[in-house]
Amino acid sequence: MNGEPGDRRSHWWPRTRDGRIAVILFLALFALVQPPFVHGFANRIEPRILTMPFLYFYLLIIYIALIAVLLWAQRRKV
Amino acid sequence: METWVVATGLIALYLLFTLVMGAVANRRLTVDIEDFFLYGRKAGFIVLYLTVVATYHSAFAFLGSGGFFYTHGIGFWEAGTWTILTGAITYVLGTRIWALGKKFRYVTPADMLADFYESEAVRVATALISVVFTILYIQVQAQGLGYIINVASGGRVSFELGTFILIVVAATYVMAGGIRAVYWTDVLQGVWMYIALWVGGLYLAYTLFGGPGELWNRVVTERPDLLTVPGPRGFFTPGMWFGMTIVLSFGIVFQPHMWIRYYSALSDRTIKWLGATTPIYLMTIYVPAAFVGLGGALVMPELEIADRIFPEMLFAHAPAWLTGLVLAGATAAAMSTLDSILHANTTVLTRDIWQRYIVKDAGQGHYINVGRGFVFILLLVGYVLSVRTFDLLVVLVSLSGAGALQLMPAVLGVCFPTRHKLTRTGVLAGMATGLMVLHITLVVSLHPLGVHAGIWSLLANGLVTWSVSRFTRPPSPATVDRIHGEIERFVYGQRQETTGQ
Repeated sequence: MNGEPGDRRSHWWPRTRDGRIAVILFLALFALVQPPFVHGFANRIEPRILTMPFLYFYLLIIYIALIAVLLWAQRRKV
Repeated sequence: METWVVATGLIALYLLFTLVMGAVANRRLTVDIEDFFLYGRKAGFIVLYLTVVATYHSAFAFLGSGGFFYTHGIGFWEAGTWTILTGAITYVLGTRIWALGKKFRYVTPADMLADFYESEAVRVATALISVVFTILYIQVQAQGLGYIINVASGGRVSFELGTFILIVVAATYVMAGGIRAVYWTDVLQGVWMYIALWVGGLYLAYTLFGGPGELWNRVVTERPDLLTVPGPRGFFTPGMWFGMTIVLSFGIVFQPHMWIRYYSALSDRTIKWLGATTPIYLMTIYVPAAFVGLGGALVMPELEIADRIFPEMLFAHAPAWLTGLVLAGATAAAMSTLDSILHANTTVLTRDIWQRYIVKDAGQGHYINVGRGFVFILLLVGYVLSVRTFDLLVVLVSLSGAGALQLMPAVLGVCFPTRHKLTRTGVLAGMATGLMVLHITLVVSLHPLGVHAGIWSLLANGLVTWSVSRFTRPPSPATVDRIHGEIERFVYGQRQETTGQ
């Protein structure tokens, strides 16, 4: 608050602990499915996991983790 | 019985069923704008879940995704990023849109933006962006429907006639039952398309390769170029990857057919559940799509139109009943999006243009009938566009999403209270700049430096919006306090007093 009319605290950063955890976890995991990680470290076929190429499996696991974060946020009423 | 007879018969049966649903929805309809356009703001979790996923996934998921895996390889598994981000946006932004819609009785996206920015120019600009860019989406779905029925009938029903029949059916039940007909048919369509894609994809994987494991082995051996990015044709560059993530998440959410679903929810908990769980459906539908596209690249490497890989493989390798089931599922995917867009555009044109500027104080029945008239007009426009132009489905969807993305700075300015307010002049200047840059980066120089046009346009839009807002007049303190105060109360449970009061 800076005292200007209509001014109020920013909503860009969560004010609750669970909110902050959810946002940080989601953003960190989301960064892993974006460049440069996808086009660098993860961009290979071997080692294959459960017959799947590495890149496919890598993305799948992080997608599952991202959904888990959303479900956790819902359970914690973030 | 020949495959084309079974496939066309199942599609006809499916169409008949949607018309019956439209008729039943019509009997439940009351003469009430909110009932016709917003389901009376009473949509519960299951109905809303299935209508959201069925609307989000379309001919794009059924035909375009298989075509993309076929042409560009595993890079299309990127789809998980934008479907999950869509869930997160629904969770965070969708709940705020719902809260404001419920409190201030908003019906369209323009209602919210015009109210906050105190500007009729913002209303018109938002309505135009909403309609113009989603008409492209009508075109995408109509083209998808044309392909499907053309392939299902073995070429006996032309692309043009197939498109026409299916658009007319969708328009008929939208006119009859309004959003209730759309939601009810979407429930059926959402279930059918998911089962059809999984059954079809697994059937082809097991029949042609002995299972997904062996399919992966064959792709590794024969087409390893399909298993890394940027793919055989260099499409999935870092810039395109990031760009598609943003455009196909935020860009889809800001389209009126998705936005209106937030308004129609029964409660904020419904929206939060949607945000947390819709990515499961949205993302996993691309697993069988990968089997189809990558498997197709091995067994049908010379296909001329990549988007046809799924139906072509079914016709060549699956029994008639399965081919019919899957193609009817593809029809469902395209129609569930088409009907939602027809309905949403009708809502925007009726509410933001007709009711606001042409006939202001008529009865609710008048506006419902005007809405039905707009459905008919949009049907004609969509049909003409679909038979006169032609492109890869995914490219069209990207263009559509990139257009709606231009609303993003304005929406964030409303839904996220912050110290620096955006202004009406700022958001209008930003939208104009964003659209201009979108034109340049799509038409003059396609995706400069390998970065998606949507990102260039959004950057320009955001920069101009922020800069112009620094030295132009913000919304009045009373309006800011009313709307941001409601957001504060909704998110943190109390109305934060401001120094402006």
